[in-house]
Formats: sequence, C-alpha cells, structure tokens
Amino acid sequence: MTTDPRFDESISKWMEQTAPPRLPERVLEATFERTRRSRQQVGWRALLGRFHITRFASALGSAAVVVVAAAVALNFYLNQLEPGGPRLPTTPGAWERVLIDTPSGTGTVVSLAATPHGLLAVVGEQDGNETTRLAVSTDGRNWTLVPDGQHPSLSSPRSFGYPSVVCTDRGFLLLQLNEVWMSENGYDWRRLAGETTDPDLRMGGPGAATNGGPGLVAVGGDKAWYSADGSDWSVAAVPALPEEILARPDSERYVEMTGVTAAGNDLVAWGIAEVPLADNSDEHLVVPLLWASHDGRTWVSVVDSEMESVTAVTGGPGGFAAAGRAGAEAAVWFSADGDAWERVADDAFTLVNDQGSPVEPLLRSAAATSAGYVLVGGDGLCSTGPCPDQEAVIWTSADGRSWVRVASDDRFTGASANEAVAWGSHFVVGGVYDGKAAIWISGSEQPASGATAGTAPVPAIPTPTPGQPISLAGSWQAIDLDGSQQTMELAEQANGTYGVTILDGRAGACGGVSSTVTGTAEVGRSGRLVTEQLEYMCDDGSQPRPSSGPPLDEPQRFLGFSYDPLRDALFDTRGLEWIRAEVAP
Amino acid sequence: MRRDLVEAASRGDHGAFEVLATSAGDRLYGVARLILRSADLAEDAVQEALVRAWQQLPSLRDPERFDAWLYRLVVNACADQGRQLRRRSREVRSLPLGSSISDDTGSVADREQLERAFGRLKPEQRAVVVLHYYSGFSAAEIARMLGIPEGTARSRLHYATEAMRAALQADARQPAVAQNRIA
Repeated sequence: MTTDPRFDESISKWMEQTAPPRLPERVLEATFERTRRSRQQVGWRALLGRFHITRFASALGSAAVVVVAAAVALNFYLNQLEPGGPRLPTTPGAWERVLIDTPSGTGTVVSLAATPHGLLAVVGEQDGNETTRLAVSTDGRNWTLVPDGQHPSLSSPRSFGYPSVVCTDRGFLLLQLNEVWMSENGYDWRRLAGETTDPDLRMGGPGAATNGGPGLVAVGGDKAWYSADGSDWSVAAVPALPEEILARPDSERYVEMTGVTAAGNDLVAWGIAEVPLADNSDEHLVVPLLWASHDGRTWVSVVDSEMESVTAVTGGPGGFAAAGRAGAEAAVWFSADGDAWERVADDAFTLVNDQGSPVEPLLRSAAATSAGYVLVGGDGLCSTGPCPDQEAVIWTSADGRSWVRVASDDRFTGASANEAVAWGSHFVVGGVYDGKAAIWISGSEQPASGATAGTAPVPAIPTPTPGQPISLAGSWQAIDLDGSQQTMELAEQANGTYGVTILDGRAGACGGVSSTVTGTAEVGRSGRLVTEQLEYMCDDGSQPRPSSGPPLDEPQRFLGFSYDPLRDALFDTRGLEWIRAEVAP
Repeated sequence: MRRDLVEAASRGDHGAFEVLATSAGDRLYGVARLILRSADLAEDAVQEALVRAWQQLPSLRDPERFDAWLYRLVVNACADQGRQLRRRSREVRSLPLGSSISDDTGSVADREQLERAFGRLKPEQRAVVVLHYYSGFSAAEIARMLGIPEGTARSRLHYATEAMRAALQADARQPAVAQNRIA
C-alpha cells in the first residue's frame, strides 16, 4: 500500500466526490418487485447438523485413501490404453457423457487438464454463491471433488475469473490471481510463484500456459511469460498492439491473451483486443490477436487479415488448427508452423436452426491426438440465458483441414461444451448439461474412415525424485488474515512424524480469544506436510464455532502445507506464508 | 437493532429486508459505479446483488457480517456485469469528468488525472481500490470478501495505487514535454 497519506486522501476524496450520492428509487422498486416474487434458500442451520469439526480428520483420511486409490486405478487405466491404436471419435456412439456431482447439483466445467496421473476439472457451481471446485478422475468417468482445504483458495467470478488448469509434463498447473500452483494428483498443491514474490507476475497474471520454450510458457492480459520450472517467471517480448487499438487511450483498451498451445518447438498464442470506436460510442472494435514463437521468449504477430476473431487453437500431428470467425461466419485456419495460416473447410461450420436459417456455432476449444483434431463448442442458438434446447457440438478432423461434425444426438442436447483436452488416445470435453457439470469422453470406437492410426502421445509417468531430506522441525510464524500472529511448533518424533502445535492469538472461531490446535503431521511422498487428528481448542475453554459463512477460515482447515525450498517457507492451503521464527523480522 | 432486522429478514420478513436494502443501497451503488464506471451496469449490479442477498440470506451464519457480505455480493455482481459486458461488446461509459479537486490538503491530484489513472486499472484492481479507499475496508477484510489470500489483496492494492501514482506522474510530465516541443 502507498505510504503517502496525502495521495491516499486524494484518492478517497476523489471517490467520495465521484460516486453518485443516491441509488435511483426505481432500482429499489424493481429489486423489491423481484424479491417479493422470489423464494429464499434453505438456511445453513439445517445443514450444519451434518458437519462437525471432528470430520476434518476423517475427511483427510478419506482424501489420502482417494489418492492411493487414484494411483492404483491410474496404473490400471493407462495399461488399458491403446489396444488398437487411436481413432477419431466421429460418431455419437464414440462419446460417453458423465456428470460431476456437486453439493448444489449445479455446475459447469470451465477448465480441464489431463496428465498421466489423471484428469483435473475446474467446476463453477451455478448456485448463486458461484463456488469454485476442483474435481479429479483417473478414468474420465468417475469424478471426485477435491475437499475444500485440500487445494489453494480458488478464485471465482467474484474475484474476476475462474482459475485455469493446464497440463505440464510435471503435473497440473493451476493459474489464478497472479499465482502459479502445481500438483501431481490434484490433492497436494505447491505454490510455485506469485505476485508477492515474483516481480514479473505483479502487473498481470498468466491465464493459460503450456509446455514449451525454456520449459513453460504462459500468457494473460497483454503479456507473455516464460519459465524453466514454474518457480521464476520472466516477461517475454511481445508484438505491439494493432494501431487501431493503440489509437485509443490505454484506459479504454481491453486486451486478453486467452490461450497458448505448442506443436514441437512451435508455439502459438491467441486472444482479443477491444476498444470503443469513438468517444461514448456503443460500437466496439474487436481485433484478434495471434502470436507465434519458436522459443517462448520472443513473439511475433501472425494474425491473418481475414481473421475477425480467434477463439481456439491446438497443435496437432500436422500443425496448428485455429478456430474463430471470418466474414461473420465460423471459420478454421491451418498452419504447419504457426507462422503462415491458410483458411480451410469454408462451409463445414454452418448450422441450421428449426426454421432452416443458418446459425453461427460458437467454437470454444480444440484438442488433438496423433489421430487428429477435435473442435468443440455450442450451437449458437442460445447466446444468452438458460436454454434447454442448446446443443454441444463437436467436429473432428484427421488432418486439420477437412472437418466433419459429430451427428446430433441426445447425449449432446441441452448441453454446451467449453473445453477439450487430449488424454492419451482419448478426447475429454467439459461443459454443462441440464445445468450440471458434464464430461464427454471418447471411447473405443471402431476404425472410422479417414482416421489415422498411430501411437497416442501418452507422456511418461513422472518418477518422483527424492531430494535432500529437509527438517521442518522448529518454530514457524505467519500473519493471519485478521492481522494476528500465529505460531506453529513442529517437533520431530521417533516414527518420522511431527507433533504440531499451532497457537492463534486471535481466533475468530473462538470469538476473538486465543486458540490452540494440536495434532500430528507427516511429510507425504509429494513433499507436502499433511496434518491429521487435529484437536482445536479455544483457550478460554469455549467450543470453537465457525465464525461466519463458508469457507471456514480457522485452523481446522490447515490440512496441508507446501514447502518452498527456495524460500525455506511453508505455504498453507489458504496461501498464508509461514517462515521460520528465527528468521522472522 | 440492525441484527434484529437481519435475523428477521433471514426468516422471510420482506419488510425488514426492504429497510436493510434501502439503507445500504446508496453505498453499494457507489461501489458498483466506481468499479464498473457505468450507471446502467452499476444499477443492474446492485439489483442483482440485492436479489441474491434476499435469496441467500438464510445461509448467512453471522448477522454481524451482513454488511461485509453485501459488499461481497455487489463486487461479485460487478464481476458478472463486466463479463457480460465483454461478451456483448457493449460500452463502458466513463464517469463524467469534473473539475480539479481543490481540497485543503494541497492536493497533488487533479480530478481528471485521477479519473484517467483509475480508468487504466483492471476491474479486479479497481475493486480493491474502491473497497479500500471508498468503503474503508482493510486488506484483510478485502481478502476475506473476495476469497483471495491477504497477501494478494495487499499486493493488488499496492500495485494498483502505484500504477495510479505512476499514471498521474506521467500525465503531469506530458504538458511540459509538449511545451518544450513548441518552444
């Protein structure tokens, strides 16, 4: 925060003078008109009886069991892959639809990633709270929600955007709020970098990443980054924005690089730039951005003049396929190297509504295996509001140039597809069906015309490399969200576990008096310190209670700590940083 | 008294909710309008936030946190409006520019320059700046409200403020450069 009181006061005063004094009466009238006709939801008290603090311990045990089971199932599943080589899922029967259960029964898959360890989905519940959840699966068909507290605090619409998850050769990468987290299994998360420690992540945050360049490359806003291992990021050199965008003031520009993909050493990133056409104009100029790089450090613009937007790109066996709009219709381009683009399949993406009129589909995501490419989205019939008649649409292409739509079918009706990833020889698509988070996974279809058989690019399962054992014993300190200091004592025990004592000087769950949490912890194979059998006590003898609405913010949630060897610090699942007491200022 | 109103509203007393919403409406509208920089969008955001508040009030565990919860809902609704805006490619109308602030602090800031500098911030940065400088919340409170780590709230506030300061300084230098060129 600024240390200039006069500047602070100027901002406050300007805001007081700028903000309107009154909410128009008609807004309140319209609001009350709606609320009088609207039902209230069931209260939390009815639900709280099912939930006890002691369940944290059993939840932790369950999570550990799930991780082990996931590893076993994964090995089994990977052994089942590729019985006859990969094939393109060109018919509805090649796709299976499954749902991801959420507490509210609602949701949509907003991001999806696949590693040899399994699949990870980001699910946004549509229950009014917009709760964001992670779900994991080892077979694409059975999904388990990662318990709250087992993952970093997840951003949501209220913090201006869902997190993105991407696959790297070392595990899942989670990008959100200018921070980068990594996990091999979706349960054990390690904070790799963030704006508080990496100056290159301060004025912008990566929203998409991929393997490439020196290790990893990422894009977001009007920037690109590269990193060797995800812990230290550098801003890459990117092309200047188009002149028509630069012609408008910076404050009017909206620039967002939304994706990046790789094929061999070639990289392609895409996004949009948008400005109003003139002062106080209702018209906006939207310009596609398409960048290419061969090292991740320097990017050049490769946008084709015909492109009106680029919404999805993937690298495949023969090169890159990009989807977007041209001449007010859906279009696809192909490029062998990411530099030169050629429009292909001119008329493959026109849909027809019930009245026989052409409809422009929404092409949202693309993926590729060695068998070919898929492109997914919505049918464009319902661009706003709930729409039971909307349909998820999937196109396939063996070469990226000739595209065929997977025929309409019940399993795609009432649905919309947001994200596609390749998983071994399978394609996995995430979206929404009947208001619920949905997954479509391609299965063992018989060989189809035009499909190219081959070996799918299943990456090797990473082998854990044991490092030097680091003793975590000793005193640690952190500043809680309410500004109070917490201390943690880790005492090494004979069986290799740690005795844990956490003291909170001002615990919200204890009405502001101090609290003591005791229990044991163990360092898992991933290097994560996992606590178990925690006992939580208010020092005045009262019973701890959740302070207010979910999520709980007290030490019951301290189920895991990630150790950062570079900083000799522990990060808990809320993002609090713990440093050794002897080096604390 | 206010706690009684919140508890009554959470039990379905619409009259109590109307009192609460009316008393909070002006401040929520100020927050929404500063973040969104559009009167129309801000009105929509406040209405959405209040409707959600009514629907979800029974799930609020601690009535004392009602006000902070309302702010969270309105920031949430602002984010929704921002996304819909981008999808529809509609315009964000800038707040009208005014004259220079003449305050008794010997202000370093000019209203127009502050407006421009603030406008250059991303929506998520504007949200923390508004919640801190207009609504008076601390970084810790903002972190709880937005569901982000406190460190993130602090750094977002710090860099947003620094960005505004830098923009103001850059604007302040421009006339001098122009004059030099003329000379």
